[in-house]
Amino acid sequence: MKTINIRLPILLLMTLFFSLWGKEAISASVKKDSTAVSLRTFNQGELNKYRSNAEFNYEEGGEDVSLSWWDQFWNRVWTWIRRWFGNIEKPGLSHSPGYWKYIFLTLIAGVLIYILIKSKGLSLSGLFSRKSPSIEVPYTEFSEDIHGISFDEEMGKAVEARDFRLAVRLLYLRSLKHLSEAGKIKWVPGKTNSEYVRELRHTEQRRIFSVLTREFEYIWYGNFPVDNRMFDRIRNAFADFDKGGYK
Amino acid sequence: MEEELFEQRTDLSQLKASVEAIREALGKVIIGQHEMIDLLIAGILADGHILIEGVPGVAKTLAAMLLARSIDAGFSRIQFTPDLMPSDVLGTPVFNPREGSFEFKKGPVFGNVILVDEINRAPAKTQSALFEVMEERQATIDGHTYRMEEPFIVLATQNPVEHEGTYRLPEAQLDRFLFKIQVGYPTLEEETAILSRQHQLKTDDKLHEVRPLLTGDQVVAYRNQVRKLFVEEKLLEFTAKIIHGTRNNNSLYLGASPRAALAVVNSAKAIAAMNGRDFVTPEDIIRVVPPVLRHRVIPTPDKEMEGVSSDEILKQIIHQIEIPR
Repeated sequence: MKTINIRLPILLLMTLFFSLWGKEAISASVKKDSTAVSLRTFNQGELNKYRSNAEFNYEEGGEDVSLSWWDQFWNRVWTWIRRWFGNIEKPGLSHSPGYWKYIFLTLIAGVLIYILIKSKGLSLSGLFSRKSPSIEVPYTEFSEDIHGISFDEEMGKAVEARDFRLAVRLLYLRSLKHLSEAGKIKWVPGKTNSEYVRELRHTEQRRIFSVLTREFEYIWYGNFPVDNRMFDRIRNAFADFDKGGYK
Repeated sequence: MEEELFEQRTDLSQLKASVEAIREALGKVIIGQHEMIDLLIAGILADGHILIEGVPGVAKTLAAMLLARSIDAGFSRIQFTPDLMPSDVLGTPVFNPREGSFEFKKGPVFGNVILVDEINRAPAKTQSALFEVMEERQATIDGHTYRMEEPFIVLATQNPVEHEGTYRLPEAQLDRFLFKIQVGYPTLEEETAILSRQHQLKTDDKLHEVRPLLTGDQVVAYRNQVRKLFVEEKLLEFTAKIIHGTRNNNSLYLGASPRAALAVVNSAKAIAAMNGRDFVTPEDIIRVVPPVLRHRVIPTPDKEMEGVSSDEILKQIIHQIEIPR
């Protein structure tokens, strides 16, 4: 404890000595400047010359002709945007963020793509929906209209020629025509027989027509032989259906 | 009524009974998915390979395994992975030091019912190993041709959602699949029934609930029966018009091939047989058109962008063609 008490004043004295010695050394090294000072002024002519040079004109507002047409375009766009939206920073410069430029570029690109898609007549609904949209296929293969067939005449010919298979077909088509005229089914050549059966609302009517349909299918698609007796039975079944089937 | 009028020219009673038995057996394990089960059976009767596509967890692999189990024939399962080599599928010659010669060691493809799980995970090189096997029912390795045993059925599964680490199947290979069956989610009632059954059974061992119901020879015999079924000339024309319609359609970039036309007729015959008929109706054809053609046609890029599916285009094509009657 005693030694600390002695060292502290010694350290203080040394610090004082060296600081005074250093100060003396610096003041001794500085020389007095005796050079004559002459005041110079800007040459007004030169200044005006520079001012008239567009390259040294940094004022905003004026159109900088040295910029490319693209930069000039964006300058105008940003001037217009600032006028409308206030303090959005000018993009493109190193010190300011350019994300606004990209947002507007994306918007413009989006509009262009939209115009392109619309001009091609495409629909974008499928992009946002899992369900497949329905389309119109320009392809038709319809040749026969049941409303234009003279059934009695054609059936007479078929029976006379003992073509009972064809006669059963005509019976079935005639039933379809009657059902269509009665508004029980909607006739479309592309519909299947089962679709027509399902369209019938009356249960008994649907049951009878379902049986007739199956008989027609066995004969027409299955190529099952039809004799005179069988044809008479089928003709009667169709006649019974015709009597009460369309109410 | 019509049974009294028309006597069947082909006895399909046994075939129909077998179909019912398979339907019932699979139905005990798989709730719903009736269309998938029917098409799987139809595919086997029509002598075709089947691609089953669906999101994970809709019983694709289970259905394929159960179907394979219902047939008493050699079964192999190949899990397709990105590093799978053609030799892993077909087999490879192995040197026998005792004989001093190479012996061909057959790969898993030499079976009767082959389940290829996640087929789109293997690269084109390995996919191409299946080309000859699927179409010609033979494999040529080191100049030797090895015939596949009959029946030979490839049942493949793939997941349409996951694209990471998957490869699109080449068109040539897709064309070799008779059906592409799309398996959807079950209905609310079916979902409840699945949970209820699982809760009651308290077991995961579903596979053992299905026993072999058909022999390989029976499958071959049924196929021969199906092949002989009658198809009216106008229905062949109707099929041709549908196929032609796919080739002249503005919405399709690639139409169906003649192989597809044959596939439609064969599959329609199988559906007719399953319904106990020895002749095909337009409805049989219409029913099989989507699963037969959906993977064989390609919609144009603009239609794809609009989200129009192949099924939708096919439906429209069919509706524009007059039903022959």
